[in-house]
Amino acid sequence: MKEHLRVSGELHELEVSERGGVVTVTVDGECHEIADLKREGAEIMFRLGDRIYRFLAHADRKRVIIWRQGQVRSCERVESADEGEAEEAKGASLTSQMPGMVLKLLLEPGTEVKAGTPLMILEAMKMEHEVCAPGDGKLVSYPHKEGDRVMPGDLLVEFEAAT
Amino acid sequence: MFKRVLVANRGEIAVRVIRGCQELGCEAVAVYSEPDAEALHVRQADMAVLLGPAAPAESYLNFERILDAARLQGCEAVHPGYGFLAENAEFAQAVEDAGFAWIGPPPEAMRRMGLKVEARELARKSGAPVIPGFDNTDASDAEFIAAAEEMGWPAMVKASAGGGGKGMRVVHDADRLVAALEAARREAGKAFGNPAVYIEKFIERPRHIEIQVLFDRDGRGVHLGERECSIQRRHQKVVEETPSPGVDEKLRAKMGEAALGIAAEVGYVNAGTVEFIMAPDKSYYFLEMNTRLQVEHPVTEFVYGVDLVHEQLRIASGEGMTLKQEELVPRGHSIEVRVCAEDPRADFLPQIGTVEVLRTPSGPGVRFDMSLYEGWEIGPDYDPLLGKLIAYGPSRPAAIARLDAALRNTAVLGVTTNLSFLRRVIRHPAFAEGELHTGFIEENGDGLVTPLPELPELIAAALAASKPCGAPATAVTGGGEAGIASPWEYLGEWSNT
Repeated sequence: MKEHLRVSGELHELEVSERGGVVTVTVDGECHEIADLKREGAEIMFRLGDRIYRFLAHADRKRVIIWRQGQVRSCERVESADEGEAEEAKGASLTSQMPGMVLKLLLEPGTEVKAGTPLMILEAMKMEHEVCAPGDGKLVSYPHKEGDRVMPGDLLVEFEAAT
Repeated sequence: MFKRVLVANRGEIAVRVIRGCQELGCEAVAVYSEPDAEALHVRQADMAVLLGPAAPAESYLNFERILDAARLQGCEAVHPGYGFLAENAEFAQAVEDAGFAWIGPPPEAMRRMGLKVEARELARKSGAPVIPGFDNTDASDAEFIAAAEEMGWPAMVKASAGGGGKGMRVVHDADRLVAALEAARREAGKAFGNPAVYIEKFIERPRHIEIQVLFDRDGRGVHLGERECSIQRRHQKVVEETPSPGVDEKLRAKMGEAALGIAAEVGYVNAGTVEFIMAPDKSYYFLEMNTRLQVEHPVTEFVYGVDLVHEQLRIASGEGMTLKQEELVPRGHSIEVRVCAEDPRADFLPQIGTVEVLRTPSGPGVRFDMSLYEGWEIGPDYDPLLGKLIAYGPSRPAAIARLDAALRNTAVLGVTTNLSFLRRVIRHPAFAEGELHTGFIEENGDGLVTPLPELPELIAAALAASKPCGAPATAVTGGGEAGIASPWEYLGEWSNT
């Protein structure tokens, strides 16, 4: 079964298959044969060419997290390549990653801004965080008013990237 | 020594203080809020008392409930850790008034050092150099602007009752000062219940150097050298070490004397830290005194061979000073990094989540003070600090190498942490050079980003992703074509965590 994962912003198509005792992993259409695959608990070990790789991994419905030698990657599961592209096209609107409170709205809706311009101040974990424009574009609206509580995934700013 | 001590805190510091108590044969009573019922500090304590709901005001900041817990469990003393009530002089007074020993300085010393403006005055009186500033907290915006113009830009806005980076802003021109004052007052009011702010001259490319002091109840004091905490982000310390690459023996003795003088001026007792800011020319100025144990105390413990929590407990229980200044000589080098639930790729926004997989480092000279276990859920209610990883080595390069290896062997999966960011900081060539200053992370930020994933990572991700969720291994046939044995049989045992 093909899996679609978003890793560091890039969408990847991945597939694991096995034929005659040989495990092959296809990464974006390219096949790689791996050897000595072992799994124990959270550990995944395999050989690729001459190198031995030991990873720790956790997978659930929404994401796959892998770790090796202190380096962590969180990969977001995407149902299909189409859905991944649709999400990308939706663009730059900003969602909250944390439960928090909208402390201050800084600009008038409709304002054209440069990348990095602070748009609102969010309070989370007792600290103030500036939510900044992800690129040049227009601040369309604020779905919440000052004092509103927000949860992870809530839209904070409706933003339209400049084309 | 006390027989039973209440630890009025949570997280890694509560775990660390509980261990310190138990090592001295003293029972530790934990307190906790509702979401912390399963927390590690509760599991490791000898007894535990529920304070109330998550909100700090109803739990970890609630004087009455904490004191009731101490009475209920027959405690003799209260250790505040750091954060929460650790620098609250009223709480310290309430603890003493209720007949318990306060494992910290006298409330009056806390009160005076807690008001940054008064602390500056105390330091001035003791003869220590103080940073130029304007500390009339009632001044108008125009007066603040005039004062900043006179000192010269940039200026630093600071909360009078502050600490921990809250209410602090660096301002480069008059246009931005009013907004910074407003934001700092708001943050300070919320964090400390006191919106007063003042301004100081901002020293460019400064080092943050602090001196650990210990005083017994008879006023005998020693210092345990310096800690360098220059690697900061938004005025929050990220990496701390001792000895400082910028401090030699002569300077250490001089700053140590200055710190002891400041502490003596206020009649200090127990462990405390005098913070200085050091300009590139090695001139230094008193910044503030932290009237409590510091987050970064373990580096001093490694290099001076002293358990600071034990010393705190001994001093509070009335024992005299056993440490001698001439014997407190630094040996080797120690570095600490602060492990936080925050996302370096999303402007270090605090993160929540469940610890699904945990691997901790070990080996000689490695210490991991933390409050995690697999299954523990990090919620949004408290500080994102998860723990501290500390390494010790005979030299600075040896300590860096050990810390690097320890970070390489630490895994926290399920909640985003700054672990890989920390590793990139301590592996940075400029860090190895020891040319540290508080703008290090901003200046070297480009070299601290995550590299793009390589092929083995994508392969591992594919293998992990293809693992079925919640289905027993034998029931899975996906991936194999008709007539071919399922790869899952070949792949061996699954563990569905």
